[in-house]
Amino acid sequence: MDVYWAILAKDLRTELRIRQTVVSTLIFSLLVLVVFQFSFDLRGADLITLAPGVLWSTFLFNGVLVLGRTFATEREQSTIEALAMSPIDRGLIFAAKWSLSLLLMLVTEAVVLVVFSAMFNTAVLSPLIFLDALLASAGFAAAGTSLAVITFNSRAREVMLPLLLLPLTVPVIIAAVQVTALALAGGGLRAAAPWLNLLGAFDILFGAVCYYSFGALLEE
Amino acid sequence: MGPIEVAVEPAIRAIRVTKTFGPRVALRGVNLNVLPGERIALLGPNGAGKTTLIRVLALLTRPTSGAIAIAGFDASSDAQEIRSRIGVCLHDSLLYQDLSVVENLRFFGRLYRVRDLDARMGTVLERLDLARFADRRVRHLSRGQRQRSSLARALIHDPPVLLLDEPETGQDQASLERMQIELTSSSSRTVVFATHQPSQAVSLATHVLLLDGGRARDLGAADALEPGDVQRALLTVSG
Amino acid sequence: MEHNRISVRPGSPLGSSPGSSPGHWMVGLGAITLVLGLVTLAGAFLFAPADSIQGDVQRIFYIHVPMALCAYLAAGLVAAAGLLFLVTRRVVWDVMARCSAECAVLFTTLVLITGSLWGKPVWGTWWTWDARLTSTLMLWFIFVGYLMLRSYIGDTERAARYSVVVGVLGAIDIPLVHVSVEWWRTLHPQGILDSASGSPALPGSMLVVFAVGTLTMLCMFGLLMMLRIRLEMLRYRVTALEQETLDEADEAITPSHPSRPIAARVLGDGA
Repeated sequence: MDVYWAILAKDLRTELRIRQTVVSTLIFSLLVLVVFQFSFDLRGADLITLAPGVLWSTFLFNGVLVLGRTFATEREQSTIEALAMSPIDRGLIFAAKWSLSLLLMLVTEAVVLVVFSAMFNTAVLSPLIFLDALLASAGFAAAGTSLAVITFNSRAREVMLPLLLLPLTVPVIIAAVQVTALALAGGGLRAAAPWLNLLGAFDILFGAVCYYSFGALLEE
Repeated sequence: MGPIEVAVEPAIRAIRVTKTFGPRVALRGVNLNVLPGERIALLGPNGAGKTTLIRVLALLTRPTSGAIAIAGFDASSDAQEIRSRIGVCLHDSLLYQDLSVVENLRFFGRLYRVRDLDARMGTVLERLDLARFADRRVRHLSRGQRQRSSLARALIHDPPVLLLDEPETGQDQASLERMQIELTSSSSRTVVFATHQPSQAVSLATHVLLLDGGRARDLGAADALEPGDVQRALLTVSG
Repeated sequence: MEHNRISVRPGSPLGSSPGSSPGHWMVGLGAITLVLGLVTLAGAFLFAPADSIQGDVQRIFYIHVPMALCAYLAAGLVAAAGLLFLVTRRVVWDVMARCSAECAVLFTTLVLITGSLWGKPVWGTWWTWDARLTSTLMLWFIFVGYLMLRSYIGDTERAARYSVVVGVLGAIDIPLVHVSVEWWRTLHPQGILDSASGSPALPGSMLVVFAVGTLTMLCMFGLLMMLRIRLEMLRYRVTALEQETLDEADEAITPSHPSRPIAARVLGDGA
């Protein structure tokens, strides 16, 4: 476990020092919100209907960008080989990278929610939506972390990551949007429970498969 | 059986190791039997298979066929045991560019579960003349400092086996001497290093091996060789 | 291909000698498939009664549903064969996984096409976000992505390992996709559309034709797999033979050096 914290701390220290991922993806996400506004004119009666979709589309774009960066530095500097050569459980490398991506995604999502709430005067800052964001982002990040390693060596890697990730995470996307819609309509935990359970099941299944298969991805 | 009896467990054993990359054969049935404390120079031109052999011994790549045992452990069943006992330096520094030398060493020290990490870091930095640059980010180090930092990373857990891929590349004389002193200082540590400089091979190693098209050819004990002999042998290699 | 040299036993269904058992196996299976296909068509048009609600257009189900079955079977096979490859590292399992993925794409494409052909007269539109067709569409994307990945990374051992993970994730995703799409559809029920694609109790004659249709599709699946796998294994065999030839040529021009006695220890006795 110390290994997990060591890797996570190292990545957070690097991210805070050079801020390559969080700042750029955050600003990009705000930009995407603005584009949605031009596309749909979110003021007015349609806002409640459109808000969940707009928010989650923004979060998905952000997620793909964050995940694309997850292993980029390790690969570019070949430190991924240093990690592969050390006597650590490969699953812990996955867990640390997963946590890192999740944290970075949640930071941007939180900021976007605050901005959205202020810009469009909508009550998106609810506990249910936060829970939704956490569970859905966790599932997205789990699949995305493994796929980030997989697609890094492929041609057109920037395209292959979302191309593989989005179909696999359709359950997450559908569930996330539904819970947000329920929350905005005033529904509570009871109504959202089936979807949250689905998200939980996805997180556990995908988390487990990705954790245990990570070693196979790091072999040469 | 020759005049030398093998009574000690070999530090490194490779049995008919072959590695192919599609149609290209990088290593052909390489056999190694290295005793603890020996220093083996792998000599050969580019493409001879030196880097591949180092990577296979470092367990970064699985051989296409053959077996490897290091420090008594079999690579196919006890890979993690081996990993904790080897230190590796490759062409890349294997260091995080945006962290300082100390931060890198502390990180890897934790991965290797080094005891008394701070003391060990102090020792290693001192011996490689890096104490003055310890807090500098790796990105801002000179080539020589980076190479020595890379060696520090490899040595942080005091491994009994050290694998190096062309450690002399791009280094100035002073830096190189520091590294050489460190490499020859321990009589219990086994070292395998790849190089294409005959002088390096002869001065640092106890035995010299020539890699020729993926095959290993023993040139014998280093103290019986002159750089000139080795140079001539190198010229006979195809490619 | 970075795989170990492979050997294919002659005489096995995947063997290469012309006129031996593999040829016979495949011709036999091909003949059976053809016969079954004709029986299915006959049964679908002549034997089974027309559906009371949908009329004759429903007859497409006799191949549509079996195709869907084969698609899901193929998807499961991709994951299973992939896992076997990871455990045994034998080329044949990776080949099977890749060929299954190709079949999965083929069958899902056919399901989507036949589904649309059925949908146009029944719903009045080529596509509607019906739960089952939508799930099949996601499956299509997943396995098309699988094949694209293999093509973009190239034919290497690494690609094989990576594909196992994608295949397994795809397979475990299937029930999750189904559930989520199903629930999503029930939020916007479209009345007759949903009930039309349901499967009420079928009279005996229809079941018989379904069974024959399913058998036909399974045989077709098996035949396609055998043909593809055989082709791939032959290709590997050719590459291996080419390499052996190149190696022999190499040996001939490289002079061999006798090793000195001291070499015995450092180089090992080859024990």
